[in-house]
Amino acid sequence: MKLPVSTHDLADRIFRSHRYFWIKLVRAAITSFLILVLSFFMIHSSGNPAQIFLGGEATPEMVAAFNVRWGLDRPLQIQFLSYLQQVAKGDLGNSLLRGEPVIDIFFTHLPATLSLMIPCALISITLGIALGFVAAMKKQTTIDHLMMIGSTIGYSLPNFFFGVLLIFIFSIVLGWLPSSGNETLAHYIMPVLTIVTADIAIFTRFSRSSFIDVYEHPYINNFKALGVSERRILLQEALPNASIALLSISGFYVGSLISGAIVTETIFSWPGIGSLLVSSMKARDFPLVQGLTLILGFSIVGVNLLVDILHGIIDPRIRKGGK
Amino acid sequence: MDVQMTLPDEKILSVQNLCVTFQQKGKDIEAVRDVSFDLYEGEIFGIIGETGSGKSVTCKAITRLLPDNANISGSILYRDNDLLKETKRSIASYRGSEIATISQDPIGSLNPIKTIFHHLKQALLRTRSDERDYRSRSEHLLQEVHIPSPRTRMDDYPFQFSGGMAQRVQIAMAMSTHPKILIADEPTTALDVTLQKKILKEMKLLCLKKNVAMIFISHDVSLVGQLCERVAVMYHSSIVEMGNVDDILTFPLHPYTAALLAAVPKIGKKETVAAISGDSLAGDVTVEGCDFAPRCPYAKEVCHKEKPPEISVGQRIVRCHFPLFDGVKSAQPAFMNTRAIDADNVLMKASYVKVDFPILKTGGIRDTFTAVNEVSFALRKGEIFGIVGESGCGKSTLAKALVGLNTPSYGMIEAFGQTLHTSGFSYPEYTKKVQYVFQDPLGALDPRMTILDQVAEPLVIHSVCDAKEALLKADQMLTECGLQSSLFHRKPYNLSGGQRQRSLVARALIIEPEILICDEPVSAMDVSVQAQIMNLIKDLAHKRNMSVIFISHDLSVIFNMCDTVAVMYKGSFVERSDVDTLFFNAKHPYTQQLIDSIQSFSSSEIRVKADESHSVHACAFYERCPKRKSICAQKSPKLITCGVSHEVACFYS
Ligand SMILES: Nc1ncnc2c1ncn2[C@@H]1O[C@H](COP(=O)(O)OP(=O)(O)OP(=O)(O)O)[C@@H](O)[C@H]1O
Ligand code: SF4
Ligand code: SF4
Ligand SMILES: [Mg+2]
Repeated sequence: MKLPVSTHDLADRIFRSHRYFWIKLVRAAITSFLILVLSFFMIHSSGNPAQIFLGGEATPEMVAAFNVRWGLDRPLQIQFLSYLQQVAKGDLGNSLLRGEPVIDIFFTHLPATLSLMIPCALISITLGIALGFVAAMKKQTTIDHLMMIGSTIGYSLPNFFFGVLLIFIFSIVLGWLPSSGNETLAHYIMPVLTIVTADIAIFTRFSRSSFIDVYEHPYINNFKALGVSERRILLQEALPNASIALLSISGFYVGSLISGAIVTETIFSWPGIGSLLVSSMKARDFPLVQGLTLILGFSIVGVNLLVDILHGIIDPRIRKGGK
Repeated sequence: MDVQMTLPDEKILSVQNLCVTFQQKGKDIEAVRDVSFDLYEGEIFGIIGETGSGKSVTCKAITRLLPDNANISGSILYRDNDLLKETKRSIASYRGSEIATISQDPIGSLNPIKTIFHHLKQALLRTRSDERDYRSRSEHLLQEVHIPSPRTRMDDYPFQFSGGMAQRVQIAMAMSTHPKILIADEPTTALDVTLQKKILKEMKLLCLKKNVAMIFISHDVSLVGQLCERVAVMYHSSIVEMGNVDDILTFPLHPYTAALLAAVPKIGKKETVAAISGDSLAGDVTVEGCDFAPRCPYAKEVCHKEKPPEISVGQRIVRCHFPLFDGVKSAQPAFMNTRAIDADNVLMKASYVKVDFPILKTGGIRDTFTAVNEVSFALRKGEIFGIVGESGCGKSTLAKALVGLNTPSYGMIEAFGQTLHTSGFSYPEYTKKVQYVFQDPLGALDPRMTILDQVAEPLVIHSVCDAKEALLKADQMLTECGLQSSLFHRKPYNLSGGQRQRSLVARALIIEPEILICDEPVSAMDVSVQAQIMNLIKDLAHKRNMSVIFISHDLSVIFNMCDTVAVMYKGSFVERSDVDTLFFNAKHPYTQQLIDSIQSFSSSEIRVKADESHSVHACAFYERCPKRKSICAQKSPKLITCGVSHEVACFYS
């Protein structure tokens, strides 16, 4: 007869069997907290916000009024606690310049960024993996060498240079494409091209080496020796294994997309989060900068957590606590 | 049945003038040179030879499983079709269904992120049978290779299987497709002696029954002798002798074959085995004369200048200027080693070490499986301590616990004044003194680094010396471990199994540890390299007064290597004593079976274990024990002293 399990035991078991996931969750929580702390202190680290915002000729009265208005006169820990409270309620404060809630501003700019980033991500990931696979299969041949040269050029071209070059050729010299805004489909061509050239190159290189790695494993040969078709080996054995490595880079990549947006959006005056961040920094609109930092930070943590969880699901060695 | 068939069986495969060269960085490596042999229906043809002699490459060439940088020439006729002329697509149709392969590296041959069932299903899909019930067919396949509780185990992943079990899965996969030819590349190196024989016997039976021909690659000369009808001996990419197995083993004509036979470890004689002197040539070295000349005791001037001709003597072929028609020169006297173990100086002490693993039973119930059960021992300075037992008995788990890779759930491991797995324990400090060599050489090496860098690495990590000096030392160490300098800059995948294992030994020995833990360090090697590595470890143990824990499933290896030995069964030590006592006076029925099974190939039939239902308190060996009585089903015997330094766990010993 087994004794009924106590709740404490149960909790212990759940923790043990899902140890990996719990660890990842706790890490994500700690990182999120650090981001909160960092974003809070960002305002304070850059000197006196009132002085910065109001400029050099502000009178002490103006500064005092400013501080009262934004609660900057209270002790630091109280400020932090009320900041946490606000964030918990989903209130990231109001923009200094526009007076609107930061959250609302963020959401009005989000669609523009997503409409650019999602297609870019899809194109770079799928095309990059496909090209990487081809290069891996043709490893050490002329095709492979050409592809590697191409990708080296692709990813060593800085986005700002390539973007400006495109504008110069297609907007200024040829006059075919609009150079700023996001109104029509034609507006998308150059920004997408700018982002995608670098990113495909990165993915091609990375997936090439993951595929080469996987295909060198003896189990691939073992399935070949059984007469299992190449296609089946790719889909059933190689791809799942390669995807473990590819998943990690995809996580990084989605994170870097956000920062990548800053450059591209600025060049093409794209009304997205990237431009918003730049303009708010220029204007020293610190609640907006703070809010955006927080959201972007959280979303990167979220993406990484998602990647870790998927990782655990794909790889039984992690899930089942193997080596 | 005893009547020999007068007509020769039909030739099923004919390999003619096979040459394989690898192109690597502009250099050509000749891995197989002018190899010709025939395979007849239903026969078992053996290939023996040192590591790197080209055995695996020859076999991979048959089904064209070599990487793209391999250049293959010659012809391989399978039922009159030249396999080398087939297109890439059509060669795939031969694989599995006509010619199946079982490869060397058991764990690596299974996809780490797929279940065992997935593997078997992929194999079964190739059979084009109407039977759709893959699960029950897989269960049946696993049963055939004696995997216990196959129904639940097939949902496990390869990392949950021991090396031996993984190899059995591979055998099941290969058998499932009903091939005409089975190429078995060292299929049982990872298995324990008793199981090895059982499996090989079954493989032999299957070959007889279904008229399947087998090419059996092994470095175990005695296995080849027992299993095969004809054998080819390979040395440095070519066949130096070929013929009937009994003739070759009793009356070798080629000096290399003679040396190979002399290097087989013999039971009961505790002596340094006669390693073949000198190194075999590296793959990319070509010599003008006979390849064996630099090591051959019979070499004359002509041997260094001219390639020896192929001489046929009846059914036999030998490639030598001076075949040994007059028999072998008497072997040099073996160097006897006697040395004192410092009885009072205990370096490592394990007390009641127990290691549990969580397992998932059917219905999602979690349970634990005890892989190592309250094992205790003391390792003294200078002692070579052997642990022997069949695959899955917990040897590797224990070894991993000793180096801190597994955490015991109970018990204590103390060494050098530290207690493992406690707070204050300094791992870097510990690894400087305790090094290990593990079973799976591929898994232990970084596929992206050259072996020279990998051997130098520990020196840099432990900041023993700077990188430049480390490389120099690594160079020396690799040479000492019998690797040629031309291999130093290769990556692990481009080395043969034995070469990889030597690199691992070099990496472990380079920081001059006080304790070396070896888990099956020689099981992937052929006898002559086995002898070299064993002698190397022994020599170093003597010279540096180093202690060694040596784990193996091969009792003959243990007898040759060790001073003291423990026999492990299902997680516990069942007998422990010094080597001589164990050999001449084994008390435990299991030990006796092990010793019997090395001495004769087919004796001691082992009772098949079927029920797992009797009391959990029974003696672990109950199911297989010929001496069991009713008390054994109720109580489990503890290790008790039965003589001077002799302990045994059995009620009726
Ligand atoms: N892909 C490769 N590229 C270059 N050289 C290779 C490659 N594969 C094998 N070799 C070389 O070919 C030679 C023969 O190797 P092979 O694997 O056939 O040895 P083996 O006789 O099977 O040895 P073992 O008993 O250790 O398995 C070795 O020198 C090895 O280093
Ligand atoms: S040819 Fe000469 S060197 Fe070669 S094996 Fe024969 S005797 Fe020895
Ligand atoms: S205790 Fe009994 S079952 Fe166990 S080994 Fe001894 S005789 Fe056999
Ligand atoms: Mg081999």
